Amino acid sequence: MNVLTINNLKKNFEGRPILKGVSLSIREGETVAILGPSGSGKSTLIRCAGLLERMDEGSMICLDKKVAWMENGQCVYAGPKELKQVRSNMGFVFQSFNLFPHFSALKNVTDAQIHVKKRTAKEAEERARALLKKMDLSHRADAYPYQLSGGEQQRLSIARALAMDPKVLFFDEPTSALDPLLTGSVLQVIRTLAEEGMTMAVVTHEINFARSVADRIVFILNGVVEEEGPASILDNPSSPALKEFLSGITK
Amino acid sequence: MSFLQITSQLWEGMATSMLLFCLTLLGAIPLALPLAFGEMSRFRPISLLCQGYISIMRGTPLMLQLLVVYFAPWYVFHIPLTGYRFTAVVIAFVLNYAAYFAEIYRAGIESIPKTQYEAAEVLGYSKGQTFFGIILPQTVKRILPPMTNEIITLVKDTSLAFAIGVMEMFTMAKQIAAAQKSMVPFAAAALFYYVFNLIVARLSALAEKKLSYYR
Ligand SMILES: Nc1ncnc2c1ncn2[C@@H]1O[C@H](COP(=O)(O)OP(=O)(O)OP(=O)(O)O)[C@@H](O)[C@H]1O
Ligand SMILES: [Mg+2]
Repeated sequence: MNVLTINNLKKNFEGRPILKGVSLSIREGETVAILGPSGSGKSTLIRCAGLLERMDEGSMICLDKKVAWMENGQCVYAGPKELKQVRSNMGFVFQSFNLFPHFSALKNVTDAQIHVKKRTAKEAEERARALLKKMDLSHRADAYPYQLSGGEQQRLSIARALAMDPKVLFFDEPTSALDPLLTGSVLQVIRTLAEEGMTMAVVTHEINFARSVADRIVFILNGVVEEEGPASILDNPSSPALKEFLSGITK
Repeated sequence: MSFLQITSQLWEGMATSMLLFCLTLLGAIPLALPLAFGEMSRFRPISLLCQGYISIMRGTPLMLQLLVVYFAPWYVFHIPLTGYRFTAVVIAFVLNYAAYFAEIYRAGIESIPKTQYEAAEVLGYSKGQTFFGIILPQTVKRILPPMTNEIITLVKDTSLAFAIGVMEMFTMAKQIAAAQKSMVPFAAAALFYYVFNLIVARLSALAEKKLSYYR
């Protein structure tokens, strides 16, 4: 079953076409890695998928719910109630963490559970402590985001997203803001989630990570999917563009 | 007359000044919030109206506004109001300070990165929850220094009430000084404003310290 299906997504910024008809589907339990050079439209794609950006054209279905569709040549989105419902199935992890600086690590993970999911404070804290433990942050529960290392902050933001029990988790370059030494712990967490069967789409520049974790690779260039397939395409790319991209990265 | 006698005579004026100060804050601090919202509104007529209001209140002297508020009911509408002096001062001060505060709020709210809204949005927070739970608390920390500046100005501005003869601190000091041919009432008044502002600055520093648990 597909958790998310996007068809023929087009998006312009200031009249400039950024995505020129991209289709993306994510099956349940699958980890999709989205690769591509800077400016190719990866963030735009994942932000459209995560409902942070609206498509100009295209259709989108999330867990059998119609999110957006074409009507008389126009892209129409479902109403706010339906979108809220759809959004509750999605989690998003940002490159720059975007933690709430005025909340402790614990409160970053409990607050939305209490105010959005309407869990009791006790339930929320139990869930948060379990997630902090999983993210190896138990000892940092009372710290504020500024007191955490980049890697810890990103793991905390993953815990915050997981606490809402998303059915699909989007990552936009989760390790790009990190010191190379700190990327390992975050990638390890994502790897564990993949092994546990979490459905994920990850925009990343970490080729080795993509190769070993992703079930499928989507390579984007200039707003189109240039090549798509299992992780093995990273070793045997068929398109010259992916070949060139890979040789540029390994150099 | 001794310094103590003068101070005790000034006491009533001090109470009036402090009351004016407190009522102004009580009125202007909440009133500035809808004004700031209005200013940021995407609905042009509302934002233009609020911007115009703020621009006029900041661009004309408070003393002039005070006179307008005090005299307009009679001169313009022929409504005779007695015992309106103090109310007029409070209204004028609230209207004026709300404009300054709104400008500070707006700058503060706009300084919170867009990414905070996005983080809240993907977690499913409503617009109201996002503003009051995520944005406003961070704004409070950022606007504390400029608000302190305005509040210190307000302490000194309370003396403007003398313009329509409200018996606040400064009006009293002038009267006693004239009657006694003495500088002491002025010294006492200066001391009053200075100590008052010292307290304001101290409270602000405390609040800043209290909010320094995060960055
Ligand atoms: N909000 C926006 N307004 C205008 N242009 C935008 C906006 N967001 C993205 N763009 C433009 O769209 C293009 C694609 O941007 P996008 O962020 O999707 O690229 P990317 O593949 O994520 O690149 P990177 O690897 O550098 O993150 C860029 O040229 C960018 O300048
Ligand atoms: Mg990007």
